[in-house]
Amino acid sequence: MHKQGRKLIIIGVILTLIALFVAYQPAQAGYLTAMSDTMSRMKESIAADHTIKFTTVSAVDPGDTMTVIFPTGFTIGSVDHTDIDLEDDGTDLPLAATPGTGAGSDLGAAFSGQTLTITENDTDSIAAGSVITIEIGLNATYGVAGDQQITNQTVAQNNTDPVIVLGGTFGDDGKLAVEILSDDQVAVTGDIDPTLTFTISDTTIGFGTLTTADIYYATGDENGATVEPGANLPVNLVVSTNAASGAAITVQDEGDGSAAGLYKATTPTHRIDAVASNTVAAGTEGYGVYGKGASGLTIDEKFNDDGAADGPITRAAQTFASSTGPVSSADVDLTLKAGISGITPPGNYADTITVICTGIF
Amino acid sequence: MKRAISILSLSGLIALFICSLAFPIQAQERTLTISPLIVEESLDPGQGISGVFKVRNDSPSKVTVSISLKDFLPKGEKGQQIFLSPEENDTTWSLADWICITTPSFNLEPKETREVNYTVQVPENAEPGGHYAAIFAEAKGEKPEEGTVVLARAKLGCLLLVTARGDIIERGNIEEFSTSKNIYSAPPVDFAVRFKNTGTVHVKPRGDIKIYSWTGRLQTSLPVNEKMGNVLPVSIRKFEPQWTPTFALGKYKATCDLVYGTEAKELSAETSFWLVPWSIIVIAALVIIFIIIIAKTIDIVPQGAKRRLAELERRLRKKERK
Repeated sequence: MHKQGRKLIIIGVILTLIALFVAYQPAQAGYLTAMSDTMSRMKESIAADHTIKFTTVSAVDPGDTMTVIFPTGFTIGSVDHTDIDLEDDGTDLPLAATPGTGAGSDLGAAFSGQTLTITENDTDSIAAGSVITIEIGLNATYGVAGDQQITNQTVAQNNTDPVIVLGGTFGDDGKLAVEILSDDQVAVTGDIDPTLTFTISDTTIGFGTLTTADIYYATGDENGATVEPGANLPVNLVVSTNAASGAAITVQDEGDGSAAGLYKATTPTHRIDAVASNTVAAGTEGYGVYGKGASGLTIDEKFNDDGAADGPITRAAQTFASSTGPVSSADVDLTLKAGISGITPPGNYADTITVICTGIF
Repeated sequence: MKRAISILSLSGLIALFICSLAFPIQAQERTLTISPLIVEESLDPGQGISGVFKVRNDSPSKVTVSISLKDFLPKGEKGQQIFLSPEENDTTWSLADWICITTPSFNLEPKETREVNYTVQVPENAEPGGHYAAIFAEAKGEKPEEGTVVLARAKLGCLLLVTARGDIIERGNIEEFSTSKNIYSAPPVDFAVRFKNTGTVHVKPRGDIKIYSWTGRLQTSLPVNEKMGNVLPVSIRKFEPQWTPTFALGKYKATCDLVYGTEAKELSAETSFWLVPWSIIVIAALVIIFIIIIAKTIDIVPQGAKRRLAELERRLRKKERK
């Protein structure tokens, strides 16, 4: 009987203790999770914005505080509640210097020394497991836009006090390491060379066999034609440059070494003189050079074949076409036409035209 | 026999046809890229420098590139050049003889780039002032075949502008500052600024054109030679800014202020012009005239009311007589 009684008493005490333990669970302070402080600048001794984030373990009850303690090297200056924003799971909460009264009223946010204390009002609470975001500085744009920032400590001070401490009466706490740098910006440079690209689509063109009946145009197949070659024919000149002043194409004729023209080197030698392109006519000797189909380039007055101020190609270099600024794949067609008379000596005639492309100085 | 000749002739024609197919005339495209385009240096007599000039073959096939030199002088008023043959060289401005190229000729595969080293050695007795030459890269083409054929040779040039230091003269003037018209009926207003270099070395005149209304109020400021183009000695360079206001009316004054040279010498010039948008004025005048005509033709006071007024006045006068 005594033994059974003692057993019962012991069991009862144990059960009572268990019950007390289950019934009474004091609020457990937690270690904050997912903590971070993103700063707009990490360089020492300059002003920067802070975006401090953490996830609570405990709830923030009415009247509870959350604190952020900055290392002693940071200069708080005149940062106040207008330079601070507080978000609870992405929702901005109203702030004032002191907490308000009633549901939806302000939370208090104020610095005292290095410590920012955020005080919940007397009615509302922040649920446990909330993601809290505290913005301090010019990034605090809810309500009144922030105009004050905290100044970073120096690199030397990193060694003595490198931690932002999170805490408050709500019970959770945590620490954030701060690493201030001597410089947080990297100068990036790159060089782009000025370049000039020039394409000549065909270096050998020919008139074929000329007769007095027609004007002949040089073609890429060297057979010649009695109609003007189409677009991009017979020689398409293409220019690309990133030079600010643009580029110029000049042309220079070889002729017979003393004058421009189509030259027959075999005895008896003969030269079909270079003339203005618009004056070349069937049955009359003449050799003309002109430009057509320009895109991105301006053909010089002498070579635009419009009958006004047209001129012959010469042994001296003359501007054929040009641009006034950078161009990409600007082009113009170099076109040749010729006519012969009834007394033009038969034989093979040839010429060399040098096409020069340079920048504009 | 006849049949044999016909077969032979036919065979010959077929053979000729096949040959023409086997050896079609190929277009010979040549594409080269060079860098840089313009090199500017200032050197003491006796001083030398070295530089690099890059050539890239952007043609679809291998090319042989030859490097050559030619002096140049300015041509026209837009920064273009005329290249001089050795016989035409003017030693006052000559530079080609001071340049040495290490690699005068080389082959380039497609997309291959070659660096061409060059040196510029200014003689001890060099004439102070500007000296100008071009380094050319030419992709050689095939020689002309039989028939009336034209060979087109393509060259790209890098321009060298070298100042031989010493007793140089930086001098220039605004040869002309004007607008293309005295009276514009609509924008744009075309300005011409012609700077004449009367010194011995190239300079970069730059500045702005300020435009004032007839009340003296500044309307806008246009940059002149913001691309920093050079004006070579004994030549004129023309700059052509444009003004395109949204709306403008009346007489305007424009002042051109330039600085040039190492000592930032200043030049100024003025001009004036009228902007009279005739079409707008004519339309406005027509509208006003139309309103006046309408106002005169339409009776503002209705006829009925006039009669009533007249009756009241008559009764009033009658009462007054009594």
